[in-house]
Amino acid sequence: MNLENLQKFSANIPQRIPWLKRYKNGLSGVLCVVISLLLIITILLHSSYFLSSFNNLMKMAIVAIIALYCLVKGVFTIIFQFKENEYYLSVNQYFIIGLYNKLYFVYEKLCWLYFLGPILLLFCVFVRIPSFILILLFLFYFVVLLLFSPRLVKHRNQIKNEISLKKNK
Amino acid sequence: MDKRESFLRLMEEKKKQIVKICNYYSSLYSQISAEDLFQDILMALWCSFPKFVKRHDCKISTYVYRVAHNVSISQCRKIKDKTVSLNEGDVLIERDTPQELSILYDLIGKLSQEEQVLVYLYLDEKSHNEIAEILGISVTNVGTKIQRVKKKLKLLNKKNNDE
Repeated sequence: MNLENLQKFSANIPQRIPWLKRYKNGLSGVLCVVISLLLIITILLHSSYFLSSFNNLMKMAIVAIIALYCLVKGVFTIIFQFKENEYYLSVNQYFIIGLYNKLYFVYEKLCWLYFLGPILLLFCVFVRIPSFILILLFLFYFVVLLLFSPRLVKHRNQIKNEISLKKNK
Repeated sequence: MDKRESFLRLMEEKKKQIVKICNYYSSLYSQISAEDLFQDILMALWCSFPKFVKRHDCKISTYVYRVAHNVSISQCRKIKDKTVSLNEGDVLIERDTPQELSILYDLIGKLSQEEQVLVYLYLDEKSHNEIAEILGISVTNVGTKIQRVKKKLKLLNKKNNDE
């Protein structure tokens, strides 16, 4: 590594921080929150339409779930943005933040598997999809459930153990 | 003296220390460029500098070590996410180091990230107290971990030789 180049760079560094690069995660988090707010406003403004029939009510339920999902994802992403930039923390604490981030993604997958997946399947029942496609979808869901559920639970337990170990040091 | 000036003075003092860390990680991970890592570390130091001045809960060298290692760890994570398949010799070819050192780097590369940081600090001849402060663990734990890592490296070396 050329130290002279680094010297030049270190002299310029205070002006050279790319704002977009630094807050990439935070911006995507804000975007998620904005989308969720827009969806919530849409539901509130058109509540009479959504409540007019059972099918519309189901549509509202799906939109509400997507809004809630976006809101949670957005808030967690913003929190992670702040935490991720806390480089001055001890290495152990920084590892714990990384592990919490991993844990979040495992919970997100579990949420899709146990909650959002079945709800989407239920939605398919109400929109009158041909029965053979519906059966295939159910079969696919059960295969995915059987395949990934134990793995995800195991992964979650591993991460939780690791976090508690690191916290006790 | 304003913030910018005191920061640059600090960088001037600690530049070699940061360069050493950058070279260490670029030797462990061929995908990491030492110069890019150096820039990222400087950025992180600059961004967290006001907080350090405000809190001042550790020595300057500890602060620099913490930031440098944490940034390197996050870079390594990004690389692990985008795994690139390499031929066995690729990593060694890029390193302009003696063979024994290359073998050592390969062995260290097989350790966990936390162990890699520990090995670096140990090889840098830091005291157990300093290592404990940088890592945020107890001093007794540092001793135990160093012993474990030594044993692990010996085992890995033995496995490598057998293969």
